Amino acid sequence: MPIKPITGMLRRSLVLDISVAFGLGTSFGYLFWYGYHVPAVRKRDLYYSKLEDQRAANAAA
Amino acid sequence: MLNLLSLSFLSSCDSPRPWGLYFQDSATPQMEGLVELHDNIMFYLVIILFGSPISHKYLNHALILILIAFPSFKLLYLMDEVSDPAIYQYPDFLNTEDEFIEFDSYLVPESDLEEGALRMLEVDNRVIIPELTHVRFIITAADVIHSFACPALGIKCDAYPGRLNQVSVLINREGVFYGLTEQWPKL
Amino acid sequence: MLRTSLLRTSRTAIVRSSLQTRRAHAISNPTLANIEKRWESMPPNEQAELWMSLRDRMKTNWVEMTLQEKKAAYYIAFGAHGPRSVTPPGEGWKVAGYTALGVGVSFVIFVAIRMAAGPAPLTMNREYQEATNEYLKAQNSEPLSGISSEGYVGKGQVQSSPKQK
Repeated sequence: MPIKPITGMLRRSLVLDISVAFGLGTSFGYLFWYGYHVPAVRKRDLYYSKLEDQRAANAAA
Repeated sequence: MLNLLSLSFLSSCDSPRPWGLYFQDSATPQMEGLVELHDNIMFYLVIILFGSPISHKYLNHALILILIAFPSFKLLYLMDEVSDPAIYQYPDFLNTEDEFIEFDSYLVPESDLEEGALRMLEVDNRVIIPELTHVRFIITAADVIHSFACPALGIKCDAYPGRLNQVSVLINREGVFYGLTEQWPKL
Repeated sequence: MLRTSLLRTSRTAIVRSSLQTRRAHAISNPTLANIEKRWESMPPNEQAELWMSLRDRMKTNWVEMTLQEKKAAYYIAFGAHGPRSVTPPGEGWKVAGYTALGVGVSFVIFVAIRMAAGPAPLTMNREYQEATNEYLKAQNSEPLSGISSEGYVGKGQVQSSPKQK
């Protein structure tokens, strides 16, 4: 039985490679963003809100 | 060396720390903006780092770099705004004899350091600035080109002889912020 | 346009058939025997001649080539000689050895220069750095995620060994 013609190898590998690359890349990017940046910003804002409370308390006293 | 391997390298600091790789703790809104910009760009760089070994056959990195350009320009121009300083300037502070406050501030030499003081960063007279007020620094030089830099405040401004440069800060919190002024030799 | 292309194909057809008639017979067996062993020792003009004749043979219908001709053509074009030759045995060890030697020499130079260096500044010992930690804490330095922050576990400024008495 004759085999089917093998076509579209470049197109298939292009689609697969680019989607894998972008998928991997963006997942690590979001890992960095939500794993490091967002907690750091939250920590900083928490500190400043505490500082504000302290200042308000000092002003009231 | 092991410090580098532990996650402590990601922590920030107000003053330099051994093997520190990240920024010092921010004390002004512009420094917070800089850190935000840096993390934005780092996001795209991480994408390139993990994605480009696989996709470099088909794409070049320029396409992704264009994506970086937009948020960075936005922040760059936002940072350049200079707010009007508050009414008070240092010349408005008069000492007991009704004279402007002028002082010299030199690095404390190693032999005079107290135990625990930061070498090459401590000075004898510190510049004292109110917090939560817009402050404008006007910077110039007398002999060679210097640069006035304070990483925690996010400012760096070159000081040229015969020229006045200005940079403005709004300090969010009390603290002691160290900076180095860089000097270029006569060329 | 169609007429000129027709002329062009007919002209090449004539040329092609004359080339085909030139090498209608196979290359002889003694020329090709053991080509894998003999190729590298053959003088260049003999190599060129053999390759030219094989190329002429390849211009014919390939079913007319003998198996030996096909194998010889493959070996000359893609075989393990010249740029494609196999690396000699032990090459990897040699590379590793000379690289390690270079690294070792640079390390020795580094150690020699460092031993000739002056003493470290007075801040590079543990007691001083612990005092610096307390000093920074008293100033409320690094309150966001550094030494003055809540729950800070880390060395702070300490990076050196204790002072040598």
